[in-house]
Amino acid sequence: MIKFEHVGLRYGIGPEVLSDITFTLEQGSFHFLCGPSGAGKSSLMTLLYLGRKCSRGQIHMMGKDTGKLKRDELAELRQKIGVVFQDFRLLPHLSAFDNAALPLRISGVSEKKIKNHVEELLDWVGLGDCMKRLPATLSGGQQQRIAVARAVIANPRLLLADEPTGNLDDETSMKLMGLFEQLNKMGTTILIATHSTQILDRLPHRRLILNQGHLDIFDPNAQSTEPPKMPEFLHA
Amino acid sequence: MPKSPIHHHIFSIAHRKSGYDIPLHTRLGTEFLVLLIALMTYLLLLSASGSIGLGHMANKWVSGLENAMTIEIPAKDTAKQQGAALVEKLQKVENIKSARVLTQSDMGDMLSPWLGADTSVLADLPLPTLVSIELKKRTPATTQTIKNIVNSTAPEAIVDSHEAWLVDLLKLTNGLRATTIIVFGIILFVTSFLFSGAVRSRMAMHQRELELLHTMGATDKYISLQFIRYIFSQTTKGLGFGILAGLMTFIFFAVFTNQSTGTLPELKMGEIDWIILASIPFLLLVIGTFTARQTVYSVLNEMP
Repeated sequence: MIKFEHVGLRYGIGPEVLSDITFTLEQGSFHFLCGPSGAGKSSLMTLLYLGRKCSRGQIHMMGKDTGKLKRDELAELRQKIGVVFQDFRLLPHLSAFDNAALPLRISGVSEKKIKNHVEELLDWVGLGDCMKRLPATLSGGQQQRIAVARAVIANPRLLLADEPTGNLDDETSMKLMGLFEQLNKMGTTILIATHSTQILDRLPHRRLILNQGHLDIFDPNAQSTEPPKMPEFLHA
Repeated sequence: MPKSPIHHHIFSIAHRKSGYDIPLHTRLGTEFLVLLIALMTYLLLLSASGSIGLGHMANKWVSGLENAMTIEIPAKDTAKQQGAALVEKLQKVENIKSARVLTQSDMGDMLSPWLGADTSVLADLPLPTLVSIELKKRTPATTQTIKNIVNSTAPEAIVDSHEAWLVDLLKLTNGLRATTIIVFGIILFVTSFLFSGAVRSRMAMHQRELELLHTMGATDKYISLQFIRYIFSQTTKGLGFGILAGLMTFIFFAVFTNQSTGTLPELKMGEIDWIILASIPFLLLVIGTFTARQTVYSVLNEMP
């Protein structure tokens, strides 16, 4: 599904913010991405949603070497990736419906199908009565759910979420994680960047732990796996 | 004052229906762009019609003078007899269509712009006798034949073949025409920069939205179509104002030249001239959309 081979990333002529990153995400897997601030989580997420090219190494995604793809092929690949940003990044001039419909419009889906799918999904995330409202008139939690709806509307093969529970209370956070788990059961590969020890403690999925640009992998389910040295904040 | 949800609702629907995922038309500066396009349209119409008008003027002068010659016999007692003898001989020359002595009435018509309608004063002036010749075709041999006849019939007469006038007039009008064509080209060049600048500034304003669409898998074509649509609509508005201003200027010019005394040739636009002027808005639309597309592609190319 996703394979990083000795990937490095630097901005301009600065030092590498990611060094020699190698890992594989299998189709239908669920992973957490953890690490302290400045560890390179956002940079790794950017590489995963193809928002940047790596400085070295190779990234294979859905069977394709991303470094060799043409612009249109990269765009086509991005359409198979859903992203939930920490700051939601909803378009303020579009209604909840139009924000959620954006990936479908980009993919060229007919307006009739868009209407059916978006209404169904917004109902599912509990925003059926807010479809015509602008993001500014909605609460943080509602905006978060629109961002999630937008990320999953096109049935992505990979879902990336950057601190999706950062602005939510515990109860809403766990509901959101439940939603991600449902999507994962339907076959979507999921990678969630999080700081939340509550979520990490409750959900025993594999963890990619970034520290100072280097990556360790920890599988809480594997008895024989020796846990890597965890950052202090994860024991708090 | 905060906007109501109803206001938000109406405008959100309106925005999406207009086809913009990027809120291109909701920022300041849109009116300024329309104004600039209107100005460019107006200037293009003026320079194109100036070039067309000068072309007509040059053609009229050339066709009026190219096949014409004038023989001037200085005022003296035998001038009229010499004139009549010249006409008789010239009418027998092969390439001469007609030759005639200009009457006092003809001279009065020619001098009326300077002397006014009352030309009775001409009778008291020692005016030369003028013989006007209309040629079928100007050839060096015909010119030489005419000069030989004049030398033998009225040796003191002057043959004015208008060549000096013609060359100078053509130089002047062709120079002015070339200038208007250069001005036309410069305006087009500046206009394409204007479109490019407008697209670049809006792309910079909406960098965040662009990155989001890009992340979601929007192709360069999908994004560029939004900007092309925006430039197309703004250009259409600007064209409307520019054409209106151009038409008002043409009407003013037509009324103004209608009152002229007739020293300048009358300017009339032909069908092709109108087609050329009518093609200017289409040319601007093509330049606008093409420039917008190229600019968007070039900026997006900086994204992975």
